[in-house]
Amino acid sequence: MKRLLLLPVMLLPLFASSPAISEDGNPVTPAPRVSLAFDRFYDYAEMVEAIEKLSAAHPGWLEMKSLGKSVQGRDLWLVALNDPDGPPHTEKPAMYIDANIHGNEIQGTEVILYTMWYLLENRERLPLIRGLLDRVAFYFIPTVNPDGRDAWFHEPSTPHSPRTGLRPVDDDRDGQADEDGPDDLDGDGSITDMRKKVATGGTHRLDPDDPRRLIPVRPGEKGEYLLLGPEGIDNDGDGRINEDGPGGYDMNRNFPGDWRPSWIQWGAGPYPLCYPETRAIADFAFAHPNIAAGQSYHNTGGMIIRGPGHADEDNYPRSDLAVFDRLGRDGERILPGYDYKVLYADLYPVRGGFVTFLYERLGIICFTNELFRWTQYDGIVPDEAGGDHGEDARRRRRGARMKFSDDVEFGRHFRKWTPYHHPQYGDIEIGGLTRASRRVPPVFMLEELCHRNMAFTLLHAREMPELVIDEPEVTDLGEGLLRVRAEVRNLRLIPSITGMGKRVKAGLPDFFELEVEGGVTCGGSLLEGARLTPRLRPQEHRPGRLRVEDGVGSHGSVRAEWIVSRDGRQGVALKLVYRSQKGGTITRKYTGE
Amino acid sequence: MRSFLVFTAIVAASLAAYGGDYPDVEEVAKDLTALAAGSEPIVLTELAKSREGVPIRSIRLALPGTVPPEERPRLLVVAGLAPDHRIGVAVALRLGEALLSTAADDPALASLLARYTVEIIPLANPDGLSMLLAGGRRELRVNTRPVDDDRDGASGEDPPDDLNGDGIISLMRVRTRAGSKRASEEDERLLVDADPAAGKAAVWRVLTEGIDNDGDGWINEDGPGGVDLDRNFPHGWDPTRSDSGKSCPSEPESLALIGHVLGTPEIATLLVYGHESNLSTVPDANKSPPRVPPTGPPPEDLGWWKVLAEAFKEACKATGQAGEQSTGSFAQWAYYQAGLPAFSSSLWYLSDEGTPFELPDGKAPTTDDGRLLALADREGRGFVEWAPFEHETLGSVEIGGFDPLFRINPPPRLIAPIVSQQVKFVKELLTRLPRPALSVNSARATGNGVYELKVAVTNEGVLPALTAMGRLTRAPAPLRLELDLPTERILQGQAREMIDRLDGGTTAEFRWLITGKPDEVVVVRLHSARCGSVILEVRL
Repeated sequence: MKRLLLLPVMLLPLFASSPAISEDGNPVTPAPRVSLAFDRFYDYAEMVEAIEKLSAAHPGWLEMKSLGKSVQGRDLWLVALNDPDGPPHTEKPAMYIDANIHGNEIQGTEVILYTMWYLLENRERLPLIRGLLDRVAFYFIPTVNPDGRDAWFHEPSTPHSPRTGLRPVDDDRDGQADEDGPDDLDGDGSITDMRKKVATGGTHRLDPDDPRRLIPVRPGEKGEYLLLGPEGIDNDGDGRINEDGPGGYDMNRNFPGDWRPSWIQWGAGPYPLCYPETRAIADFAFAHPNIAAGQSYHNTGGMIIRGPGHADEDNYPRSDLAVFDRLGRDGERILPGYDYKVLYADLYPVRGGFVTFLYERLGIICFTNELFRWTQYDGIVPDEAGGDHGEDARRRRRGARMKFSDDVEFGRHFRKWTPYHHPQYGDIEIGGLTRASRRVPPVFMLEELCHRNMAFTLLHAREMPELVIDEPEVTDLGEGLLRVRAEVRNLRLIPSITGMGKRVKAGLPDFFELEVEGGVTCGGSLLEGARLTPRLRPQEHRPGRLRVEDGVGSHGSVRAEWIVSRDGRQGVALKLVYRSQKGGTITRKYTGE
Repeated sequence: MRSFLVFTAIVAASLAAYGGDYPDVEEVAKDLTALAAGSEPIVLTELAKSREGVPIRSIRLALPGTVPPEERPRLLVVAGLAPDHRIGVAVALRLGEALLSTAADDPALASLLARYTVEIIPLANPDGLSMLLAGGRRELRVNTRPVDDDRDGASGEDPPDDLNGDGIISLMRVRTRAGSKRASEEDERLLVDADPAAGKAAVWRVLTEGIDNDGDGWINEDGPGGVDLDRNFPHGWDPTRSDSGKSCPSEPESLALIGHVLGTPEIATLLVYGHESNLSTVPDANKSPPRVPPTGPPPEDLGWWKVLAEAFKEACKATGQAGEQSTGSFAQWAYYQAGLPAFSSSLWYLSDEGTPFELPDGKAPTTDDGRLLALADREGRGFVEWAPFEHETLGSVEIGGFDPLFRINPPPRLIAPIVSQQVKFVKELLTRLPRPALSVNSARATGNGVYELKVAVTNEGVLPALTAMGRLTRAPAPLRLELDLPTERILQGQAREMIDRLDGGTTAEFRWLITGKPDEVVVVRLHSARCGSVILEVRL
C-alpha cells in the first residue's frame, strides 16, 4: 500500500516540469512536434532544413556549428545535442556519430536525422531517453562528404559513385585532373551500363531466366556480349574511357595512425588529413576528449564492424575486446540480419580508416555500421551449407532479387537496354540498374533501418562511463590524523580510460583528488588488490591529486586512501573530486566531527 | 656582372650586422629583404605564416636563361626546422649570395644557374628560434604549439631553468651509486656510461639543469612547446611521441613545406640542413617486404645516391660520420613518399678534417666528446666547468658540462668555410640533375606517303628522371612525350607516351608510323616540369 502511494509522487517531477506534449487525441501515436518523413532520402539542402526545423522546435537543444567548408564550399555541419538545462556538452560523456564519408553511402544521414528527431520527440515521454540525456551528450556530423552526397543525388551517378570527395585528382597522371569521367550518354539522369553485342570474343550471354541480365560465360561457351562498364566516352582522346573521373580518393583511408601512402593503400591521399572534410572531423575529435563512444554509418551489407583494419594492428587489449564483443553481440540482437565483424579479418584490410583512428589513436570504443542487407528486403538467405554458394548461386540469387524487385517495387530500378551509337565502341546498348537499386533500402524499409540502428547506437551511448563516488570511510588514527578511504565506481560497460587509451596515452589520466578544509593531506595512495588487505601504491608528490592512469574499468572501481592531518582537535570538511575526461567530473562532500 | 658586385657589397654589409655569431629571426628577415632588394636574380616569396604569425619566406635565385626561373627545374634548400641547428640557418642564408658571387668567376656554375633555379627556405621554424633565444642556450627542436608532455593538464609548466645564471642550460650531476654515469678516463670532466659488470660502478646521476617547477617529482619534464617539425611528416611518423604532433603534418610550418613541395612540380631535388644526414652515411637498401613502408631506398636508387654522397664528401672534406635518422623527417618524406632525391646534412662533424684536435699533451682525443672538449678548451668556451650548487630538492649537486648549442654548431668563424663547401656541393648536385634530350634516330619514307619516325629520349644527367622510389609511390609525374600530329595521321604508335623510367645516362627509343610529305617538319615535345621540357623538330 505504501509503495502504491509513493509511485505518483516519484513520477511527478518527471512530468510536472514538462511542457505539454502536443496532443491530437491519439494516445497511441501522438502527433509529433516536428513532422519529418522517413520514407524519403534528404539531399544536403533538405538535410540542413530538417535540422533547422528540429532546432527551432526544441530551443536550446541543438547547437549547429560549421566545422569548415567542403572542397566545393558546403558547410560541414556539426550538431551537438544536449539538455540546455544541464551541464555543457563538453563536461559530459559524449557520443560522436557521423555518416556519409563515402558520398554514395547516404542513408546514415537519415539515421542521424531520425536519431535527433527521436531523442527530441521522446526526451520527456520516455524515462530511459530522459535519463540518458541527463547524463550524456551527442555530437552528430550528418554528412562528412556533402559534395559527394549532392553529386549522388543530383548528378548522374551509379550505386557506387561518387564514393570519393570531389577535389580534382589526376588519376591517370597525364597532367589534367578529372577530365575523363563517366557521361550520362542517354541523358536519363543515371549512369548505367554499356553492353555491345559481338560476333566473337563475347564474355557474357543473356541470362535465360531473365534476359535483362547478363551472365559471364564459362570456358568453352560462346558469349554474345561484351560488358563495357559504366556509361562514358573517351573525353580526353587518350584511348581510354572513364579513367579519370571526379575526385579519385577515399576519405576513409586518410586518417593518421596506421595511414599508408596511396601506393600501399589506395585512396589514402598525399598525406593524412589533407582534405578539409577529414581534417575538420579529426580536429573536432582531438578537441573533444569527452567523446567516449563513436559510430560512423556506412552502407552496405548489414554489419557492425570494429577494428583492427589490418593484421599488424591485431593486438587490442583484452579488456577492450570484451567491451566490443558485448556491444557487438547486443547489436546483432537489436539488428536482426546484421553480423558483428572484425574489419580486416572478415572484410578486407583498411589503412587510415576513421573508426580505427578513433579507437587506436584516441582510445574511443567505436563501430561502423554497414546499413542495409538484401536479405532483409527479399528474405532470400543463401543456404551456403547446402551448396548455395559460388557464381551460380550468386546469379540465381540476383535473378530472384530482380524478380522480387519487379513484384515489390514495380520495376523502379531498372532502365531498359536502349541502342546507342558510341564514338569509340560503335553500336552499343545502354541500360541496367540505377543508383538506388543496390546499396540503399527501398524507402518503405528506411524507417525501420533508422530506428534499429539508432537503438543500437543509443545502447552504445548508454554504456559510456557513469561514475559515482561512495561515502568515504574516515578513521581517526589519533594524534590529529585521519585516514580517508574512498571508492569511485563505474556503473557502465565502457571504462573511463580504455585499455588502448592507456596504451597510447590518448588523453589525460583520471585524477582522484581530496580537498581538505581544516587540515592538510600528508599522504595519498591508490589501493590495489584484495578489498580487505589492499596493496598501497603511494604517490610521493602532490598526494592530494592522485594520478589514475588506468581509469575506472568496465563495471569496475578505483580505491584510494589519504592521510589527513587536522588543524584542530575536531571537525574536518572533505571534498572528493574525481576528474575523468571521458567520465566527467564528479564530486562528493563529507563533513566529520 | 655589375649586379653581382652591388649585391656582394650589400650582403657583406648586412651580414656584418650579426658579426661573429649566428643570426636571429629578425636578422634573417632583414638579410632576406636586403638580398632581394640588392639583386635582380633573387626573388623573395612568403610561403606561409608560422603558428605565431611570422612569415616563412624563401628566396629564389636564377641567372638569366631561356626558360623563366619559375618554370625551371628547381633545387629546394631548407634549413631551420630545428631551432638549435643554427649552423643550417646561417649557411642557408648565405648560400644564395655565395652561389651568385662564385658564379661570377665560374662559368660552369653560371650556366647551371641559367638552366636551373635554386630556392632556399633558410628558416622554416622562426617561432622555435625566437623561443630558443628567449631562454638559456639549450637543445630545442620544437615549435610553440602547447604540448602537455607529462599529461597533467598543464603545458610547458616545467621547463629547464638556468640555475647558475650563466645563460646555458647544461647538466646537473648528483653523486649517487643509483646513477648511470662515471668520469671518463680520457678526461675526468667528461661523463661516460657506468659499466658495473666490468667493475666500473656509477658515480653520478645526470639531469638537465633545472628544478621541479610544478612539484610533481619530475624535473624539466614539460618544457615550452611543442612539435618537432622534423618528426611531423608522414614517412615513419611515430604517433606515440608527445613531440611528433597529432597528425603528420599537423603544424602550419610543416604543412607549408609539404604544400610547397606538392604544389611545385618543378622541384627536382631537395637539400635539407638539420640534424639528419643521409649523405655522410648512405642508408642501407630496403629490407621491408613489398607493400610495406620501406626501411631504405630500393637498390636501384643506391647507385646515384652513392655518387652524390661521394661528391658531398669530396666537396665538404667530410670523413663520414653516421648522421641521425629521425622518424617522420621532412627529407624522408620528400624521398620515400614524394619520390624526389632528397638529401640531408648536419653540415658539421667533429671528425671532419679542417677541425683538428689536439690535447695539451699532444695526443689526439679518441671520442667525439673528447674532441669537442679539446675544441672548447681551445676556443675558451663551450664547456661549463663543474661547480657545486645547492639544489632546492636534490641537495648538493654540480652544474657543468657542454653548452648544448656548442655541440651542434661550430664556432661561427667556420660558417664561411662551410658555405664554400656547400657551394661546391650544390654545383655538383646541379651538374647531376636529370637532363633529358631528344634526338632523331630515323625519319625515313617507307612509301605511299608513310614515314617511320624513331626518336631517342636520353637522360644526359646522373640522377634518374624518376627515382625507383618515385616509380613505386607514383607521386612524381612521368615525362610526357607527344607527337604533335592529328591522331588520324599516326598509323602506329601513341600520340602521347608516358615515360616512367629514364635513369641517368640511359636512352629510350620511341617509334611511330605516320603519314606525311617530304620536307614536312614534325614536332616532338617532351614535357616535364621536374626535368625540363624539350622540343625537337624533325624534317621528314
